[in-house]
Amino acid sequence: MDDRLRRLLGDLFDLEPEEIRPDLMREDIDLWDSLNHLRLTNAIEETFDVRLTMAEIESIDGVGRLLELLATHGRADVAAS
Amino acid sequence: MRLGRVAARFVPAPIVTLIYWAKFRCFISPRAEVEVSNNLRIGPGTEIGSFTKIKASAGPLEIGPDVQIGTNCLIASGTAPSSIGRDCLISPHVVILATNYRYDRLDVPIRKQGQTSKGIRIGDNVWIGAGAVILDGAVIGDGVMIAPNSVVSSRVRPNTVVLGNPAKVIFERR
Repeated sequence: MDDRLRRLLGDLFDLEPEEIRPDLMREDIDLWDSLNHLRLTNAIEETFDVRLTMAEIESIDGVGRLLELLATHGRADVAAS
Repeated sequence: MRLGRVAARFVPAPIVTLIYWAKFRCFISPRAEVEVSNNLRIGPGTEIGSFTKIKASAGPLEIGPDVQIGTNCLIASGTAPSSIGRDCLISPHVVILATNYRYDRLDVPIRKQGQTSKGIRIGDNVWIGAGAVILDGAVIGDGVMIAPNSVVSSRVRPNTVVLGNPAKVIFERR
């Protein structure tokens, strides 16, 4: 997983890098509330130069889904690196 | 202070409710405290919740149609015009304050240095979260969402979500 994504998720949700895994779900993270969801989206778009639709944003329920969406938008490298 | 303005402060709240219903077709809770003032214009369909205070004696304040103002809010205009657009949602405990004190002198109490006012403009379809504070000079575009307890004192681009003190954009609506 791209280090920038790990740092982004770690800073936003107060997680250690080793805690960030593709199978991590939104409901497992206390700080993943509706406002942080929007902050996450904004940060992902700025960091990886993608633009998500509202439907895609609403579908993000965990790190796995986030990686799927990034791959859909041409950033499969984020999961691979 | 003119006698009319003094008398206007003593109009019983249920009468204020009736006056504004007749004049503007808006509903003001009988437990709200809204000044009877020619400076205040309210659009039809607007609802103002209990214990909310609206002061417009200093200058013009226009509230658009179909605005919902929750409980325990404070909306106070200054000498410069202020406005709230249509279809806005103002959650409980929001403060919208269109005045400021001058404070450039250390030898004079702040309260004696006079007030300034630039006015506040809130666009259409704006949702202001509970406890947010909108300060004099704020210009909030259409479709903005303001997170609870945020403080806004400057320009906010339309269709953004802002959070914090000072409020910063955390998301662009689409």
